[in-house]
Amino acid sequence: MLQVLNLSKRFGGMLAVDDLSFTVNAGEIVGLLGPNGAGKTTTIRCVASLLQPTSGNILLNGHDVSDDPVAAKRALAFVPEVPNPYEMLTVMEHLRFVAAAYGMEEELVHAEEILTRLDLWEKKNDLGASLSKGMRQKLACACAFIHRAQVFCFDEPLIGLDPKGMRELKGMMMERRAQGNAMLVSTHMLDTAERLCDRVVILKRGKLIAEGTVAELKERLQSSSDVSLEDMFLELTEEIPGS
Amino acid sequence: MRAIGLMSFWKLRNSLRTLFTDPRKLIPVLLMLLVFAAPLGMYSFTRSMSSNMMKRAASARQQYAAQHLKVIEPGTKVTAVTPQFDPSRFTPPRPKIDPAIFTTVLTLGLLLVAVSVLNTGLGDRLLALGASDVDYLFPAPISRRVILAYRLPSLMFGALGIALYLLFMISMLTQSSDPNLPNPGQTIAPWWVNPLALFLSGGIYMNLAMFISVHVKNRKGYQQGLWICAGGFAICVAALFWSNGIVGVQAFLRSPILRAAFIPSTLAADTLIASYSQNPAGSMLLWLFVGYLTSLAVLFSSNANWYEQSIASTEKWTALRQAAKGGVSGMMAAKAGSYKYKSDKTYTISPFGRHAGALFWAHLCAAAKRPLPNIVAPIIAGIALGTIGAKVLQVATEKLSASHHGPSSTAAEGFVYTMVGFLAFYYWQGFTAIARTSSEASIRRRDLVSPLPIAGWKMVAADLGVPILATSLCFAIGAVTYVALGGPKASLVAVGFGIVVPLRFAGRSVLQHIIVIAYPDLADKLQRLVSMFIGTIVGFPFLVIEAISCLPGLFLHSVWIGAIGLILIQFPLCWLFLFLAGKATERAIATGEPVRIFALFRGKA
Ligand SMILES: Nc1ncnc2c1ncn2[C@@H]1O[C@H](COP(=O)(O)OP(=O)(O)OP(=O)(O)O)[C@@H](O)[C@H]1O
Ligand SMILES: [Mg+2]
Repeated sequence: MLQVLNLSKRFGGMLAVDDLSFTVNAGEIVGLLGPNGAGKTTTIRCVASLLQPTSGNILLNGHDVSDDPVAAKRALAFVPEVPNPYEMLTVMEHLRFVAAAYGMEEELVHAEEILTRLDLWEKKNDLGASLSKGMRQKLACACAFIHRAQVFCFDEPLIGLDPKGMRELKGMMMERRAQGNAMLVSTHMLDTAERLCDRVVILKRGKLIAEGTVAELKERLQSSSDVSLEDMFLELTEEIPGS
Repeated sequence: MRAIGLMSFWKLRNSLRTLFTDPRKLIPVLLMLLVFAAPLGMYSFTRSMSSNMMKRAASARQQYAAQHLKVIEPGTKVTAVTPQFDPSRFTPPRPKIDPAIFTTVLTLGLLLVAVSVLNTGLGDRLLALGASDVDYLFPAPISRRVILAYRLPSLMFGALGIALYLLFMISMLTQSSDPNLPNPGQTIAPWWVNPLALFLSGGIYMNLAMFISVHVKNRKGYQQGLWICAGGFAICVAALFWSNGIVGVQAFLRSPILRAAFIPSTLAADTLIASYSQNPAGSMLLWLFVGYLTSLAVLFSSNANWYEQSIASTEKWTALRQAAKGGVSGMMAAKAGSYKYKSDKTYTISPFGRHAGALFWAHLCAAAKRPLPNIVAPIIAGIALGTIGAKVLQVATEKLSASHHGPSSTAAEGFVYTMVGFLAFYYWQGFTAIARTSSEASIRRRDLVSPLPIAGWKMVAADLGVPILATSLCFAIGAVTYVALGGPKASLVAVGFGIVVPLRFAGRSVLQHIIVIAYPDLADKLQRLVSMFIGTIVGFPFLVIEAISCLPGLFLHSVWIGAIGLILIQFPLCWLFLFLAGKATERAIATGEPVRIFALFRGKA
């Protein structure tokens, strides 16, 4: 579904992503973890073709993002780290615009259900400018769920959401997983990642340092079964002097 | 495509809806419209007035001539026959503008437009979209060409606006001063030919600029190259004008290389000139159209990936726009922050002075770090003011007084001083705005400096010292230049620019400081307008006081006594303003609240 092959991204002299390869299969939620500045946002922006990879390929549903961006992006739903809604569009107009852009206006029948779950239905005629930070986040998620994407990329989607919003969003993600969609979710909330994600990809300074299910990671680190993902994450990403 | 169309339409509709339902947004827009519409209205009003007056004057002149003059040779030679004939009543027709000047100014203007459009293309302005576009449009399955096409119309509207504005200026030039072209000001070409020509040539440059933006990654060097070329060109034109007059410039502009290099500008200028001299302009317009279509085709032929650059520009401009909501000073701070100082040597500033002196020294050092706006620009502006005042208006006086005799030469002099006065007035306005920025910045810093044990008036003096010094520098250099170039009435102008204006400016910017303290809500445009309006009202009584101080000069028929009165009155006024500003600052620091102006005149709160 989503294949990242030997992706590198260089900003001037700084290698933000270094020869990164991983796959997200259909019906799978993969967590993208890593300390601040590890290159999570850069990776996700490359997938959404906002950034041009310095080298490497990204395949979305079999279409290469660089060679055939329009076909590749038709399969993708992307929620940025800090969403900026159009100040002068209402919530409902955002959904209609996104549905039109993906050529899926028939999906608008789900608009009421999605907006209600995210507590945005009463705000459907409010302008983007008047939304609070959490509502902007929810609006971006609603826009992602309105069209029939096969691959979802979320960049820290849970930041700033209220507890109900978090629960609903996670529920919607799991429903989509059940429908066979692939999801890549970057997050710092490790307990959530542990429960939500089938697999995790851990980055550090742009390099992949660990990949697999939480159980596999435990096995590899020879940890006891009651060790949390958080402990493993800290162990993996800890600076080891001299190495 | 349809999605983008829908989105643009909704955006426009909702913007208009909020504009018309929110008076806090509507009133500033209406005021802006008024500001722009006023010159248009004034222009059309004076034009109809003056054409009526001209007609009446012309017929009066004919009557007078018919009474007193006898035509000897039809057309040219006349002689006075009646002894009552008074030559001063027979004013000759107004001097006409030279067609050489007309075509040269026109061509230069269009070249300037071309260069500035190319300059935007080499900058990062064109690719800056909205932050929402980056989030919602770029990841959507829409091709980059379509998004480019979405960006282009707003730029083209800008080009159209520039075209119409230029045309307005040109028609003002031709209608009000009759260029000696046959049948001036009345084009036989249909009315849309000139705007279309300007729009097409501007559009070609816009497409070219967009193409450069999309394709060339590191453009900074090219931009600097363009600036150097443009500067060299300006120096060439100035040198030619100095040595050979307008004819030299005209010959230079006719050189084939220049014409070929800026062929769209050339074609547009030729179209305009042709239409003003009743020549057919059709073929040139056709070429422009072909050029425009070609440039569009070239722009859309490539599918370069410009998203990454666009995101960088968008982030930068979004931050600036956000900061602009906090007033000019907020924007300047953000802009200064966006520069990356790549200085090898670290600035080491030795501390100097104590209390307010140290504060002033800090401001001075900050100004010295950015010498271009704080030192170089005032010096250049001052030289320009002095040169224009002395040289250009000297020529104007000679020309004007050559065509008039006796009392009309004082009228010509009056005209000259009015022009210098206007120029000085615009300078004044500009510097006032800069001083206002300093005042706003000083309010922002209030939390930082309020714990310092500095008297309020000293703090105000320290905060406003730099803009006042820069202004004084500008006007003083203007005065020196004026005297050095031997402008008329040199000593009076020198005293005016060198002493009266800086003193008066110091007082007025302190007064403005008080008003900024009283109306500190910088994020609100309406509040800003109100604040400026109140500034004018509060300033008015002091204007009356100044006028009174000039009265002795008026009675004694001496400009000098008037000037001395004006200078003397500035000292108590400055002192009063500084005293009140100090009180206002202290009170503002103590309460952290806006200060009511009238509360200053009461005792301690
Ligand atoms: N446009 C850019 N120009 C230069 N460097 C950049 C740019 N974008 C990101 N970087 C750098 O690339 C590195 C990776 O950044 P990225 O935003 O991908 O990190 P992240 O893993 O998302 O971090 P966080 O957890 O803080 O969101 C950082 O060192 C950052 O400074
Ligand atoms: Mg990030």
